[in-house]
Amino acid sequence: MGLWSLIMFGATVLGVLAYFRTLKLQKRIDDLELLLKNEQQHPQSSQVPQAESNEVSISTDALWVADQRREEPSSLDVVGNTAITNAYSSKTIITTVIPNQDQVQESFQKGLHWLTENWAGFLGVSILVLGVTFATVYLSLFATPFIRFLILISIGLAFLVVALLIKQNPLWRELSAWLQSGSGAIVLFTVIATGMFPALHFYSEPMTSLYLLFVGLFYNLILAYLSPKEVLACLHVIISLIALILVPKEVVVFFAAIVVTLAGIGLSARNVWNMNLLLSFVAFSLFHFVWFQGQSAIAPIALYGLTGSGIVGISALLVHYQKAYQSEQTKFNLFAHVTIWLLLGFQLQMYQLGFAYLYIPLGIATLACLSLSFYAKRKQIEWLFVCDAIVGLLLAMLATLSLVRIDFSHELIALMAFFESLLFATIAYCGRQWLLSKVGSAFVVVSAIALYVTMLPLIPNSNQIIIICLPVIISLYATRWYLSRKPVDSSVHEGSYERFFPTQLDILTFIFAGFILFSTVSHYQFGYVIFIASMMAMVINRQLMSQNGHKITYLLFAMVVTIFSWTKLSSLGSPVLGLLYYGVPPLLLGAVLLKEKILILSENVSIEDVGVYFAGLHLAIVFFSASWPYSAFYPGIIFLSLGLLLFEASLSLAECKESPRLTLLAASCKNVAVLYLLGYCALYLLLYLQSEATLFSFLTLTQLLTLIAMTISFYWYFSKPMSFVDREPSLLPVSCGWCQTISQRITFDIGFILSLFLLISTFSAPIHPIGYALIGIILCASFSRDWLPSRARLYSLGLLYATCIQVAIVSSKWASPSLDWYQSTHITGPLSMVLALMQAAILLNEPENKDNHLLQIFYKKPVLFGFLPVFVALAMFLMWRFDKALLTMLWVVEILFIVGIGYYLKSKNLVQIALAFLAFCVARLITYDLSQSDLLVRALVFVVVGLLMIMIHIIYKKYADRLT
Amino acid sequence: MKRGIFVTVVLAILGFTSYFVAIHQVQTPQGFSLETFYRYLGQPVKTLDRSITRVIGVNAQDERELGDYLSSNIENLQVSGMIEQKVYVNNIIDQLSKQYNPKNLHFRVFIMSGPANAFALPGGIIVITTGMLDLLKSEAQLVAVLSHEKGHIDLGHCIDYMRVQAKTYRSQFGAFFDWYLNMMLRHSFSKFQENEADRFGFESLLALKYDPSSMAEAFTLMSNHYQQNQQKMPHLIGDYLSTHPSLILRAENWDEKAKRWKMQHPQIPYYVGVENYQIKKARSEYGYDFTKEWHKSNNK
Repeated sequence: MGLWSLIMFGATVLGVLAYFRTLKLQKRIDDLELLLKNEQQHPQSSQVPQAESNEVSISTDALWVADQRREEPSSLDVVGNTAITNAYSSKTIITTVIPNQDQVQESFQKGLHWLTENWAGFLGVSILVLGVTFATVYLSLFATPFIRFLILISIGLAFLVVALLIKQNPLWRELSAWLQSGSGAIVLFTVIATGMFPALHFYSEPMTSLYLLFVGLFYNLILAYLSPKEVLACLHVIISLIALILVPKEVVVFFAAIVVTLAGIGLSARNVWNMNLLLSFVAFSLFHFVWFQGQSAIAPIALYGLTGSGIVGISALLVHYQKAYQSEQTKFNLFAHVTIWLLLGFQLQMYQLGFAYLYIPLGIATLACLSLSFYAKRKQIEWLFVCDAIVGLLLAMLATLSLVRIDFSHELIALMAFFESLLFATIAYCGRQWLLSKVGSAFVVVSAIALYVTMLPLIPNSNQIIIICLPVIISLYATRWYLSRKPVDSSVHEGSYERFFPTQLDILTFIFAGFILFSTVSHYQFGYVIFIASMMAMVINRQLMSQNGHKITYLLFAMVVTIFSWTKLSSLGSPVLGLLYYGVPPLLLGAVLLKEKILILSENVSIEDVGVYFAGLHLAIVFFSASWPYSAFYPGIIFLSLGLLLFEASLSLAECKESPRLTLLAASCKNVAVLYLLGYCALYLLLYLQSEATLFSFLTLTQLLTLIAMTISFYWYFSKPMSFVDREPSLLPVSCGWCQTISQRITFDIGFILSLFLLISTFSAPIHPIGYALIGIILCASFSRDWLPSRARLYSLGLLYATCIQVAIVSSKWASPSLDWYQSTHITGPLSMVLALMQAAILLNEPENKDNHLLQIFYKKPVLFGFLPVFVALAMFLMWRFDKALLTMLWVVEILFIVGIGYYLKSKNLVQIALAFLAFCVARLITYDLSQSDLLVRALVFVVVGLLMIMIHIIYKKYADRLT
Repeated sequence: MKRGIFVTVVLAILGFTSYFVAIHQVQTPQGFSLETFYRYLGQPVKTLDRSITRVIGVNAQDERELGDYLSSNIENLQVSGMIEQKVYVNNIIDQLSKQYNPKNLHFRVFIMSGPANAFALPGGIIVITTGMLDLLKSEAQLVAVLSHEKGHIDLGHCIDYMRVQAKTYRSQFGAFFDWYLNMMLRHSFSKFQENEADRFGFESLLALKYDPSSMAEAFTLMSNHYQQNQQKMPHLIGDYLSTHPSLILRAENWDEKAKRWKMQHPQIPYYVGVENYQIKKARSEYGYDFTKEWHKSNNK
């Protein structure tokens, strides 16, 4: 039975091989026929010049390159390949250049032709497949485990035999290699399967399984050795390791894997097989990890594991280095290099046994790595040098971290790591090894963060903080100083790493200085003063201060230090002490910076104005904090005083026209003065507005301060503005323009708003419209036209409307038990209306303002937009104050007045609106007043209204022509 | 030179002001707050929204009728007894209405039980609680409270909120009354309206020659009673939405205004009326004008 099966299976295999052979020959014959046909139809197609078509060139080259990889072809192959190449080229031309329906038809005909020619072979293969299927089912059902084992082994060996038989033929050489690999796989997995599956388990001794495994492995290694191709050899090694993953995780298996991997590495050493080396090591690492996971305890296997990993890893590295020094495949070598190092490190790391002196092997490895790096540098292999240097740095870091095992404190380890990184980054920077320096600087940052974090628990003990931070700052500052002495490559682009690294050191210096600041200030009374003194001392280092990067970082830190001082102003209990300890030192520092011209970055760039703004802000905060506890009014008084002084200082500085520096300072002083005024306004809105604190019987404190602020605002506005016309353009700082245009101009608006608030908060509502109208008249009067801004007219218009709204809505419902005249809206209302009419008349005579869009709209119909709101407000005022027929009568009087004004001003619209209002009044008189009023009142009102209407009629008739 | 003089003068004034502040230890009534700012800013807005409701014409006659209707309903809710107090508070409101009553309304005061509070209804109805009567210490303070509420009525704050109801209440008597009373118990006037009513009350005190400081005293008493917290941070929305201004702020403001009035009019006497209040008898016109209750600012 078994023999029959064996014969049947062999026949099947031979049938399959014969079929494929037939197919291959058939294809070649078809190609040759096609070629001859093309030759007959297009005699020139085989000689298509390459220059005529890129498509042809590319396709042909591609095939030729593919052919080059093979061994020297035979003459028949050359003919065949040429034919195929030409045919392919022709097809490409047809496909890419002339796509048409003929191509589809041709393909269809080719398919039909193939079927008619190969129908027998196709049928044969189908029957063959059926036969193999039947045979497999049969074997699985009836054969014994040993027979099955033999069959599978036979298949494997048969593959090998076939491979050896066809190996000599160049055409079949590739298939031969694959069959050989298949043979190895079948044999190896068969022997493993004998131990795993009962269907193949034919022996009783456990050792048999092990022997079989070794045989299988040996068989594979032999095949790997015999493989002509790297990929196939590699495949044998990988298959062997995968097979070992499947078997029980015994120590002997681990050793077997080591042997297999070493064999694989040995193959790489024999040839230039980097891929094989890498894959073998990766496969071993994977195996090692799986094997490790299968162990119940680490300690018993640690020695084996470490030894095995070491042997394999070092072997791999040795081979790799040997290849790296020879090969030019930079990218792949780099990848392999990093991968091998990482995997080796990972494998060694798995055996964490708490070895106290781990830093010793790690330190040795670091030295070895750095030595290799220098060797690579000498051999001018740049990538290897960089890579090994980085690996060396990593190992050094690991060695440092491992010091924790001998009870080094965390902050000390972080400090050592910081120094190592700084040293590495600086050396690399000085050697212009930018990549290495970048890596080093990244480690500097990481270790600095680690140091910062480890210091946090030490905050209560300021001495420790200072002891740790001081060497850090000194080392950073010294490095920075050293770097500043090296000339900067002017060709290096701004913002590149060459400029970045020193700035990074500056930033770190000031971050750690911040830690010291916090510690000293928190625990020493004069800490802040000493700290500021140290900062002043740093200014003396002109070498360093001449570099803008350092300068800007220093200035930013100075700002931070100043801001920090704001948080401590009230920490001493006494505001005056707070002012002395924390307010004055930053000002002194600022003065030193100004004197030493630290804020001038270059000939054209100066940020001294920023310094002035910041100093102004500091002063504001300091004085606010110092005076606030005594009275909320002090900050406002101080703001006004400081603003006044600064403004005067600005004017004095502006008189010195020969220095751009002084011009800039003058402009910034003026802006700060205006900012102080705005600060007062903020305090006014939030605090002083709520106070009625009496100063004199006729004046409150708030009113006095507001009056002063208002006066200062207008005084500033009318002060002579800084003129740059008569100055040399080179003497003008860039920022002077906007400084000048904004700050002084808005003082008018500030004064205007303050005057309105003063009016509203001081007087009762009936007075408000009178005040609005008076201010509005001043703003639009002809005498003020030359010295007020054009927007003053717009404000005047707004005030006109505010007057109208106030009279129409607020004053009309006013009620007061007081007998004072100004509390009676019967007096203030009409008075406001008279003033509003005056204002509207003045606005009417204003020349048209083309600067302002809103005023342009107003001046399209100035009579309508100016007078009508006043009349509407008056009508509403009358409506709320009077009732019934009396109201109608008063309205008609108003209409009479409107008509008169309308004719006087020749405004047809105004007259039309007045007449429409008259119609409404008549309707109201008839429908409402008739029923509501007494007979006498009714008669009186009707008479008066009638007379008024007659007057209106007369006016209308007499002056009708004025409107046309 | 002119600049120098100007700067010197301004700095001198500021220096004097600082000295004044230091001597009198002047402080603002409360911390940072936008309340007052919003009060000024909101004046036209609040007035405008009131004005929109005025398109429904409600004249003084309508309001009087509404007042009669409301008083007939609220009569039943008044505390029983306390005849002396009821007569007393109505005598006070009579004084006030005789001094100023532009709508010619019939002002009545009702006493209800409850914590210190007072509110006004349209048509001349004022409600004061027993808690408020217990809290106040003088007749001048009672006048301040009542004139404040009267101010709400005379200024039309009450009627502005219910012009529609004022026209339709006759068709839905019971429902309207319940709705209105509930609303008044919960409703607050705006900051601007409260300020207007305060001003009205202050002017009433001056017109009737009562102690102008009593307005501030009443607010102080209420502030202490409710234990308002002075310290707070400015809040953009909270300060806008708050209805009543802070009692501390009001007390400080009206106290300062009273001080100024006294400085301006040192010879004009004013009446306090502590004793009147204790015996619940209104002053002079009713025969209980105590000489010792009259004060002058220069004597005090």
